Order: sequence, then C-alpha cells, then structure tokens
Amino acid sequence: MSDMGNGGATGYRVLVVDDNADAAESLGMLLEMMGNQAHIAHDGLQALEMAAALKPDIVLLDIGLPGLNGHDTARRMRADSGTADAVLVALTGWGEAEDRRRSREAGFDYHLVKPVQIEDLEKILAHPVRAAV
Amino acid sequence: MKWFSEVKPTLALTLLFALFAAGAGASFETTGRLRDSAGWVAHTQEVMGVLGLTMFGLKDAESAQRAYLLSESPAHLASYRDAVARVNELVPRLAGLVADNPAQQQRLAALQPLVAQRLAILQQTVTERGAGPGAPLRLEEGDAVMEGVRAQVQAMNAVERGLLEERISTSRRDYWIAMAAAALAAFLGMVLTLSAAWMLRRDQRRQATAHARLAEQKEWFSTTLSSIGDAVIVVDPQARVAFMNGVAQDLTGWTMAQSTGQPMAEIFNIVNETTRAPAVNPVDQVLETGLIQGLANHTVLIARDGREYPIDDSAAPIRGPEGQLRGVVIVFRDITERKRAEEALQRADRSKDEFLAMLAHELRNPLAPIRTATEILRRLGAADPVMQKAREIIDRQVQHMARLVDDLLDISRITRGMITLHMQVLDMRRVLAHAVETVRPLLDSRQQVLEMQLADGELLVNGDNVRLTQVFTNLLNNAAKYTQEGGRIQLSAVREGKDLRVVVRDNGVGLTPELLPHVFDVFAQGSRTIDRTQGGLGIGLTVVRRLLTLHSGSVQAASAGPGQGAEFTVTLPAATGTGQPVLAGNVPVGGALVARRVLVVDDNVDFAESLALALQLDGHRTQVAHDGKAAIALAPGFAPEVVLLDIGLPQLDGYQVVRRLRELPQTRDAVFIALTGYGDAEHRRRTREAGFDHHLLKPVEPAALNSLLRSLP
Repeated sequence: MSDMGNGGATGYRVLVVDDNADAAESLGMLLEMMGNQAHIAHDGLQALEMAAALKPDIVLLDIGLPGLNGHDTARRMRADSGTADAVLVALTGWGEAEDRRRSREAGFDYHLVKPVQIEDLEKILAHPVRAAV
Repeated sequence: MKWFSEVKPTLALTLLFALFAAGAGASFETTGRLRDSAGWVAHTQEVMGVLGLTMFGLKDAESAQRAYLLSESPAHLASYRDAVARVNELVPRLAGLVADNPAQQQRLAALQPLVAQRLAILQQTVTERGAGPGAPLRLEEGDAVMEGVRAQVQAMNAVERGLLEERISTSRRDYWIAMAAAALAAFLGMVLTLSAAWMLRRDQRRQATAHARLAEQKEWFSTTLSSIGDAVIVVDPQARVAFMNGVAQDLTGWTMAQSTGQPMAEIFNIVNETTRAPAVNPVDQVLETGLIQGLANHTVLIARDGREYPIDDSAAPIRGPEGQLRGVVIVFRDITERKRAEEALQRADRSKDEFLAMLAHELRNPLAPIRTATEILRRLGAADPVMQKAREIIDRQVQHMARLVDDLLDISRITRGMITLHMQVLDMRRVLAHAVETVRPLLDSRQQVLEMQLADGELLVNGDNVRLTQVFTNLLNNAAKYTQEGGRIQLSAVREGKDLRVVVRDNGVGLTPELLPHVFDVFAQGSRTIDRTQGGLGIGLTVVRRLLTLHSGSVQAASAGPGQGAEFTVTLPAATGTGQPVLAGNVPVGGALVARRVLVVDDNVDFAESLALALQLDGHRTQVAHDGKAAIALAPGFAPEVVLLDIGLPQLDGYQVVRRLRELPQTRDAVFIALTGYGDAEHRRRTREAGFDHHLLKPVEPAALNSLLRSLP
C-alpha cells in the first residue's frame, strides 16, 4: 500500500475540484487551516491542467462536474504518469453501493458522501491510502 | 292455478263439443223418429189407397162384366179380366199392409171372402155368358155381396182415417221436435265453432304478442350487444362461432358471415405479449371447467389482417334452464388505451420519484460547503460564546438536513424498488446488538438506561443485515431522543409462533392520540417538549415501516398518552435457519459485493482508520480498534464478520486476540485475516494454528484484500 503516513499536520498538496465555488473555496480554506496546501479547480479539464503542473498528493474530486465529469477526470489522472499515484477522493451526493463501485472502477481510493463528515476527511488526511490498483 | 286456467278453455271447449255432439245425436234421433212417423202416415195412406183401389177394381170388374154380358165383346172381357187380376193382386197386398194391425186384419179376414164371393159370382155369370146367350144376369145376388164388401171397406177406411189423423199429428209433432233438435244442434255447433274460433284467435293474438315481444327483446339485445364497446363472441359447446357483435368483427377482422360455424381458434388468434406463444383460449378453459374464466393478462389478439391489439378478456358458460352447457360467451376489449394510460401513469410516477431522488442529491451539494464553513469557524475558535452557540446551531441543522435528505432518498429508492435486499438468515440477537452499539453513544450522553430482554432459543429471521440494523437503530434512536435524560428504554425480543416480536419501549414523552395513527406517515407532526432539532422523526419511521414491509414484517406504535412513553412493536416472520449465523452457506457468492462488518485492529491509528474508510468504499461497515483489549471489548456488540488483525499488537498480540475472539459466540465463526510483515512458511503456520483463516502481508495490497473479501463465502 503506497503510504504517505506523514500524519495530519505536515501538509499535502491538495487539489480541490468542485464547480460550486463556495464548496471548493470553503474546503480549500479548511484544508489550509489543517496545514495543507490547497489548490482549486472548477471543472475537470482545468483540474487536469493544474494537476499536471502541480502533481498533487491528494485530489478531492466532485463527481458532478460540467464537461468532463469526476469519474472521467479520475480516469485520466490515473492514465497520466504525473498524477497516477495521487490519492483520489470522490466527493459526491451519490452514496449507494452502485455509486461506490463506479468510483472504485474509475480509480478512486475513497468515496465520501456530501456533506462530508469532517472526521472522515481528517482520517484520510491523517493517513491517505491508495486503495485502487 | 296456472294449470287450471290453461285447462279451463280446453274443458269448456270439450264440454261445448259434448253438448254439440249430444245435440247432433238428438237431432239424428228426432229426424229418425220423424221419418218413422212420416212413414206411418204414408203407410196409412197406402192402406187407404189400396182399399180404394180394391173397390175400384171390383167396380171395374162389375162394369166390365155388365158390358160383356150385354155386348159379348172380347174387349170387355179383357177389361173384366184386367180388373179381376188387379183385385187379386191388391187383396194380398192389403193383407201385407195391415199386418201390423190385428183389428184390421180381422176385418180383412172378413173382407177377403166377400171379395172372393163377389168375384166368383161375376165369374160365374161371365162364364155362363160365354157358354151361350140367354143366361140370366144374377145382378141382385152380386149387389148384396158388394154391399158387404163396401161396408167392410168403409169400416177399414174409417179406421185408417182415424189412424191417419193420429199419425199425421204425431208426424207433425215429430217434425217440430226434429226441427228443434236440429236447430239446437246447429246452435251448439255454431257456439262451438265460434268458441273454437275465438280461442284460436286469442291464441294467435297471444302468439303474435309473444312473437312481437320476443322480436322486440331480440332487437333490444341485439342493439345492446352492438352498442356496447366490448367485443362479444358466442360459441356453441363445440367451440364453433355462433355470434359475433360488431366490435368483435372489427377487432378480429372477420365478419359474422365468414365466421359463423367456424372453430373459434380460427378467428380468435391470441398469443402471449412477450413470448409470442399461443395463449390459452379462455373458451377452451370454460368448456373444460364449466366455470367463468377471469381476465387473462398480457394477451395480444392478432387480427385477420395482422393488426395486433393487447386485449383483456373473460369468458363465461351459457347454461340452459336445466343447467346444461349451451355455449360459451367471451367478452374482450382492446386495452391499448388503457395500457397507454397505465404506462403514462407509471412514467409520471417514476418521474416524480426520480425527481425526488434528483432533488435529494442536489440538496447535498449546498450542504457540503455549509458544513465545511462551520468547521472552519470552529477551528478559528470562537471566543464569543454567542458566536459559538450560533455556529453549533448551524452545525446541528446541517446535520439534521443531511439526515432528512438521506431518509428522503431511502424512501424514494424503496418506492422505486431500487433497494436490493441481500437476504440472509440472521440472528436477531446480532442485529439488535449492532443497533444498540450504534446508539450507545447517544444513550450514554443522555444517561439513559437500556434494558435488554432477549428470549432464549432461536431468534432467526430472513433479512438484509444492513437494513434490519437500520430499522432497529432508528427505533432505538427515537426512543433515546424522545425520552428525557436519565430515562429508561427496554428492548425485548421473543419468538411467538411463526413470528419474531421485537419491542422497543421507552418512558419518555409518548405520543398524543392525534399523532398516533399518523406516526409512520412522512413528516408527521407532533408537539414535543424535547428539542426537535435533534431531528429525524420526520421520515425515519416511514423508512422503517417500508423496510419492514419489504421483509414481510410490520411495525405498530402504541402510547398511553403524552408523558407516558411509547412502545414500538416490530413483527417479522421467523426463519428456520440452520441456526448458523450469517457467514454460513446461504450467502450469495461469486464476485457479488456483499457488505460485511469488518473490524480493523492495528495499533497504527491512522492506518487503521484510513483502511477502514477505504473499506467503506465497498460498502462495508467498519470498526476500528487499536489494541487487543479494545478489539475484544468491541467484538460482542459489533459482531464483525471479518477481522483484520495486526499480529504485532502491543500487550495482547494478534495470536492471543484471535484465540480470545474465537471463544466469543459473536466472533467464533468470523473470518480472521492476519496482517503481518512476515510471510514465510513458519509464520504462516503459526497464524493458521492460532486460528486465522488468511494471512496477508504488509503493506497490504488493496486488490488482494478486496478480492479476499469478495471471495468469502
């Protein structure tokens, strides 16, 4: 398991992707307060662009994005060597087994249902784990 | 009475006929009598006539004799001989005629010698004269005899005349009688004829009326049959078509002329909508069973020209007055419209549900940043307690909303049948234990006491583990929320006949009589003293009820009233399982993702938590323990099906933990997976001997872990 066990406060490069500006911004702010470096994108294509340059450790991806949706964005990130090893977290209103399966298949490591429980976010940040192959 | 009134006319007619016959008989008789009496009259007249003729004959003989005596003419002699012959002829005739009258016979007996004498005298003179002239004419001698004759004849005549008068009057009387009889007979005959005619007329009129009425009814029925919107086909007991109304002709594409007498199967071509296999003809069923056959589903009628209609049909036997089968009537209708309407309705329903689901999902989006923002506020630290309070309020409400959305989505999915239940034989004890464990923190925070009374013996149900746990978690949650701090909650489970009965009772705020019948409705209102912001009652109970319905179970609410607590009783059909808990045999295998309860035990807290979260991706429910003791404490309540156990635990190492957990009933049959950095054969042997089922090397390959979990029976 690719393991980034740095513990919570030492800061990951996190890319937050959500077309809801408030959602993205507030999450970014929170992440920074938690000691991470947060970057924001509002759609899949923008996310891919930024990720290529940024090489983030963790990407928080909303699924319901305009244009390229979250699943496809994740797939492309996995396909790109620069982002293939990032920890991908799906953020979505869809929480059924079917939805989780789809996330897994797209390459996500985690699937969090909105509104996200902060503790879950903290757990991931404490010890991000690459679950997907 | 009816019989009598039907017989009466026949009786009357018979009587009349009898009378007429009697009359006719009387007429015959009286006419016969008349003929007889007329005959007697004629007879008397004949006698008189013969008497007269006899006298004339004698007179003629006398005259002829005289003439001959005087003339000696042979002509006169001839005349004389004629006359004598005549008299000789008449006398015997007279004898025959008076044979019926003894008195006359006597007179005749006296007359006959006198006549003979006279004739003799005449003859003598004639003979003498013939011998030669100069014989004396003995006239005076002859006259005296003649007087005697005349006297006798007159006497006889007189008698006959008397008789004649008598007989004429009799005859006249008889004539009138005969006339009367004939008249009577004729009259009776007329009456008879008239009566018969009248009855005939009446009958004819009745028949005409009956025919008219029948024709009218026929007309009426025919019109009705033609007017009804449904198709009607009538067949005889051999299933040949006897009648088709207009609609049937339209739908089948056959006219009645073409189809009468044809076997029904020829003109009624029906197949199953989906399989296209020939559908069972309801007429055949009726002919076989003699019973009304109900509507068949999914039948399509193929018309003569190939057009197809979905139809709804029903067939019934037609019975005669003695109950014998006279035929079958089948009524069917084109349900294209209805199907279209049904489909439209279903579509509308589905879109409504889909809309609700979509809405619920959308609602989650704005909630996310609100929560994030409140978290930020929290971390910024609020020196001001008012600000603190305000933030807490926002936080709670977001939580409430999130739960409402969850429940809404659940209901929507249950309604749309999108809930897949993974049915297994479950031990209710385990389900309840898990629910209790979930609610425990709330109970503890409210210092409430939970009493559990689980009956001995088997408490098994068929159900979905996750969903049933959800049900009882919900009920216990409500009990905790709607009971004051320090209150008491009782949880009991018992087997009753074929069912399991689980009761959650609290001594909290209870339910008002107005609320009680609606408590399972969506968004049921009710006044309560407890802070409603703790939320969840709005939809939760609806979900509970629907989930239980999916399990063929039910839930009832009861409350003595406000302030007197509430009681929720869940009834589920008991399962007769093997008694084995969840992991034994019955669970669907083979790549299907089955949600499990997984206990992750590792002293690396972050790793454990993170792994647990990752497992949730596959829908598993996870608990985390960071040492052996915690694991052992957690195990009974959580009843994990899979335990991921780090070998290198402090104090109680993994081997000891697994041994201890194998002793607990709740985890005796769980799957234990060792997590260790050592993968050599020796270590593998040790883990196996300790009771582990599998041995995974750290760092754990997630793929390996997942496929392992999936492969579990």
